[in-house]
Amino acid sequence: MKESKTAKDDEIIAKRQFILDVLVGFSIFLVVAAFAYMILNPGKGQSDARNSIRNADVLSIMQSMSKYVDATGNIPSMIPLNRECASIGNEICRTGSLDCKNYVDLSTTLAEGDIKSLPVDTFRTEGNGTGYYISNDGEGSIVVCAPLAEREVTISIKQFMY
Amino acid sequence: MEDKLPREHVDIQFLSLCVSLLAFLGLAYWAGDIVWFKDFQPFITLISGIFALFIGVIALLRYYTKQSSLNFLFIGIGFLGVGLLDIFQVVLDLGGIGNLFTGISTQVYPVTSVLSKTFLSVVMFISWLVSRKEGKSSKGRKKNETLLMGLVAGSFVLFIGVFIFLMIAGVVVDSLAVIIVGLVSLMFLILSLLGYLLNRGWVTDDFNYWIIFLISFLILSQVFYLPFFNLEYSNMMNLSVWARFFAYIGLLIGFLNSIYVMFQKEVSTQKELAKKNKQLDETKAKIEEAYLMLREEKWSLARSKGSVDKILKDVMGKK
Repeated sequence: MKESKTAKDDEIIAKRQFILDVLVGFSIFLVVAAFAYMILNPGKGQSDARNSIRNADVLSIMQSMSKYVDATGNIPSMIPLNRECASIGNEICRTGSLDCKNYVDLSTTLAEGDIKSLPVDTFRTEGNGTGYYISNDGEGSIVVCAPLAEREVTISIKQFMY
Repeated sequence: MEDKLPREHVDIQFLSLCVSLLAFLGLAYWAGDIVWFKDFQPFITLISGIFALFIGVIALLRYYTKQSSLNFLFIGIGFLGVGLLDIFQVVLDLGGIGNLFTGISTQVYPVTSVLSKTFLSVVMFISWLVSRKEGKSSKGRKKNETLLMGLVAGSFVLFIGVFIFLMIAGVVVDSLAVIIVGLVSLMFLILSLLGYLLNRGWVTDDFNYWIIFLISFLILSQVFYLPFFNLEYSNMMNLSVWARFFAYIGLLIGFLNSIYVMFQKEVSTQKELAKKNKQLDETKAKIEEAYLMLREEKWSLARSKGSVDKILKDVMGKK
């Protein structure tokens, strides 16, 4: 009886040992795979691509504002006076949105620029905002920024209007 | 001959090393989106420097109390030097002691950083070389070790050669010296890791496992520093500092564990000694009891024959 119990214990120990060996081997493989993945890092490539789109969008919004100022000689009055670009109330409202309350409605200024509809950030899937922010620093400059930029990248443009 | 550690224990140790490496790589992958992560860099560098000083002092103390292992001497010297350099770097980086070192600009920072990393990797390699000479590896194993290490060193020399060629051709110009020195220290670290893995000291001694843990994280730190991963440069510099920090913590745990094991050995020796003393006392008491019984039997035997009276009479007569 005792002997059979010892044999059973040995079997359990051997089984546990085998599982541990497999786990060690598998984790070594995972470490090597993680190294390879970090060297390639396709996720970063996608983030960089999205950030490039954000850069282009911010630039096109700024160009549109610049054309409006050239045509009218004034900074659009709906742009809030704020030194901090990414603040509450500075987010640009989507084109065609019915409710632009608490957002910056730039629909009237678009006629002067090249863009017919405002770009929307990829990560801004809900709500009436575009994910892009705009502010007037009070010193004759407009600031457009994209606070949803990934991987800690700062996307912001400041242009002196007059 | 030293006792082997249980195989399950060794397996769990290596499993935990792999899991820690994986967790760190995961952190590195997501660190780009954590804004406050970089704020801790100078603080972590300073704490790492202090830990390195601790490790250096403990290693030197260990060498002094048990002068059999020269590798502790090298580890001690290496970590003391690196700790001082790390703290000096932080002070320079924060613009401290500017009146004393007026000639030193912030450009010195990367140079001292590269030097401290190289110094540590060379010292780790020397410490392995010394422990190899002290060890009793078979000739066949030593030959295999040399062959494998030669292969690794050869690959690195080729790699460095390509960089030098690119420099001569004018393709790579920026930070080439840093890359070359960094590659050399990476090579020394990989050779040390291979050395410590192949000499199988981790089968009998926990401390060898912690040295492997240290070297693994130092390699990770060096890979981030060079930088080989496809991440933002500033993130990688920060992660390199963090990897170093974890490496130092690992070795510190190793030293504490080694002190604990020594203490436990001492306690068990004392217990064994007390047990043996007790056994000796019991045996002594038994022998005395047996002797008394024997004497009593002899006396009674002698009395019955009347020889005791004769002896007494003789003694009295002489007086």
